[in-house]
Formats: sequence, C-alpha cells, structure tokens
Amino acid sequence: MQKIPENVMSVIKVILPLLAILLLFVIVGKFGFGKIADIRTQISAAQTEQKVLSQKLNILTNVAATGEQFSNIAVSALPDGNPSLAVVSQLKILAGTDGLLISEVKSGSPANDNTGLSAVSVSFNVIGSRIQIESFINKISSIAPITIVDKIKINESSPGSSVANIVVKSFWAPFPTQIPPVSQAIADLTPDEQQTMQELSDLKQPIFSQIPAAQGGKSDPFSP
Amino acid sequence: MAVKLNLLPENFSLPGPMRQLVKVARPLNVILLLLFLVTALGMGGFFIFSSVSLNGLVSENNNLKKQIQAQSVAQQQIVLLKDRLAQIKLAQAVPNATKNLNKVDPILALVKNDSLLSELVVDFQKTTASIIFKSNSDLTDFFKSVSSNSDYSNISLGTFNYSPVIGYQVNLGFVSK
Repeated sequence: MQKIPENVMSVIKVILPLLAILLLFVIVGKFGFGKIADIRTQISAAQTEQKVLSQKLNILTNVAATGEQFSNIAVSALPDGNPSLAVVSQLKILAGTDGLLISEVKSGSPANDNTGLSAVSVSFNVIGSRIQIESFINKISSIAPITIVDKIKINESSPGSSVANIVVKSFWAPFPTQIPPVSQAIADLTPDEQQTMQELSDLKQPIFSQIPAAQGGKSDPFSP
Repeated sequence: MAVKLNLLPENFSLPGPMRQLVKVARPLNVILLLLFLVTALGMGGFFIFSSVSLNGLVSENNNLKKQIQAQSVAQQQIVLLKDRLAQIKLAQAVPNATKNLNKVDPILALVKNDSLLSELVVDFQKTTASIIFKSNSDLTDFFKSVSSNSDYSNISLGTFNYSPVIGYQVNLGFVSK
C-alpha cells in the first residue's frame, strides 16, 4: 500500500477537523433551529389559547350571575316548541285588561317562515270600539312569546262598536344541540344584543302554573 | 544576515499557498470549535428554557380548561342566549301590519262620528278602507284633509257609491311611500 506523503497528511490533519466542525454546524444548526422554531410555535399557540381561555372564563364567570334569568327571558320570547297556547293565553289576558272580548280563536298549522324559523298563525275576533281595538293591537308586540300582527280586518257596525278579525304570527326554533369545544372562544353579548335583551326583559311574560307530579301514583288507575 | 534553516525532511515541506492555508486553518479550527460549542450550548439552554415555559403554559391552560368545564351550565346558557337572540332578531325583522295601522290612523281620525268606517283591512303591504259618509259636507271635508296628507305616495279611490239610505260609500287604497 502506497504511503500518503507527510506534507499531504499535515494538510489533511488541519482541513479534516475544519470540515468536521462545519458539518457539525450544519447538522446542529438545522436540527436545533428546527426544534427551537417548533417549540416557539407551540409556545405561541399555547399563549393564544391561554388568552382565549382566560377571556372565556371571564365571560362565563360574568354570565353565571345573570345567565339563567337572561336565558329564561330569551326562551320565553322564542321557545323551542309551538307557542300557540301561550300566545292565546297572553292575548286573552291582554284583551281582558283592556276590557275587550276575544272570540273564535283559531290556531293555524305550523309552517316554516321565510326567515328559517317555524311560525304559527293564530286568528281571533275582538269586539270593542275601534280606538280600544287599535290600542290592543299595538300592545300585542309587548307580549312574550314574540308575536307580530300579520293582518287586521276591522268592521264598524255602528260608531263605537267594531269587530276586528286579527291574524297574528308567533315563532319558535329548536334549541342548539351542541356547545363549542372548551378551547373555542366565545363572545360576550354585544351592545346590540344587550339592547335586545333589555327589550325582551320588558315583555309581558306568560303565566303558567306548574302541576306538581303526583306522589306514588296508582299502578292501575281503575283500581279503587 | 539571518540564515533561514529548515531542519524538516524534504517531504514535510509544503508549497507556499498550502503552507498559508495550514497556518490560517489551525487557529480557525480552534475558533470555530469554540464558536460551535458556545452556539450548541446556547441553543440547548434556550431549548430547555422554552420547554419549561411551554410546560408551564400547558399546565396553566389545563387548569383554565378545568375551570371552564366547571362552568358548563354558564356555557350552555350563553350559547342558548346567543342562539335565541340571533333568532329573535330574525323574528323581529318580519314585516307586520301594526306599522301600517298606525300610519293610517291619523286619516281615520278624520272620519267624523256620524260617518262609519265600515271596513278597514291592513296587512304589512297594503291598507284599504271602506268609509260611509252620511253627508256631502263630511265627504268633502274628509277628502280635503286626505289630500294634504303626505305619508302616502298614492291614495286611490277604488269605488264610489251613493245611496239615499246609506249615504256616500267610498273605498280607498293607501300605498305607502
């Protein structure tokens, strides 16, 4: 085997470590910077998540105080089922306070409104003076569930005595079935939503009595 | 005069540029090695520091998530509330007849007591009224007042009937601006 000359060996001995160091720089640089960039990305994501979670917790803590009352009011204004019974009850109470008589109450078939909500029409007759009837119609917007006046037909048989056929429309929509993931941000009520909430709080709430469940009912209802 | 001595064997001697390269490369090796060690240690230290920071953040986030999960009722309430408010906005935007009723009301107030509003039909699009006037003067006064009304772009006279028993019966259609 041919021996490498000493002068070439001395050059190799100097150049080889230099190349090795440069190679190490490249390897460690590539690996190290990659790892550091990766961990910085994770830190940045964790900081963003922390901000979102803190904000969400803050909102939820505030909501916990008034949430139940607010959601009850909102559900009362827009329930998840056909509200025709509540609407009829509310209209009768409203008419009664104005000294009007409601008759021929008819509830239509539920239908999907253009808005995507479900809607039901309720028609009825009201007897009274035209001024009273107009006042009554204007108050319909003050009841919960939200009810709008769709059509009005007033017939005056003699001055001060009128019969009005009124068609109102009320709405409902199913409740949301999913809550967002824990790490997903939620927004607090906007000023516009707070304003709507204030308006809803002023609506006349339906009066329902809850029948308590019977204690230990009979297994056979026909037994003595 | 200084004499340049070279005691190395002939095969150890390097040509000029190579000798220069070797002369520079030796200290460069040491400097680069030191620089490499400093860089590697710095990166390692920064990596450890970042890892500790990340673990701290992850731990804090897990704690926050537990607190949020404990507030699940409040979360359900705000989701429900937001959903209801969005839907209520849609319901409130549905056009209704009340606005048209209130608009026609000042005109109907011009109908005097001995006249009769035999029929008024109002929906969110249109308003029609059938009015019976007992006398010509009531009819004239009414039309004079209506002509000065600026709330409607068009008030059309649909039919006009006269009967000595009933009086003047007019059907009016109101078109909003």
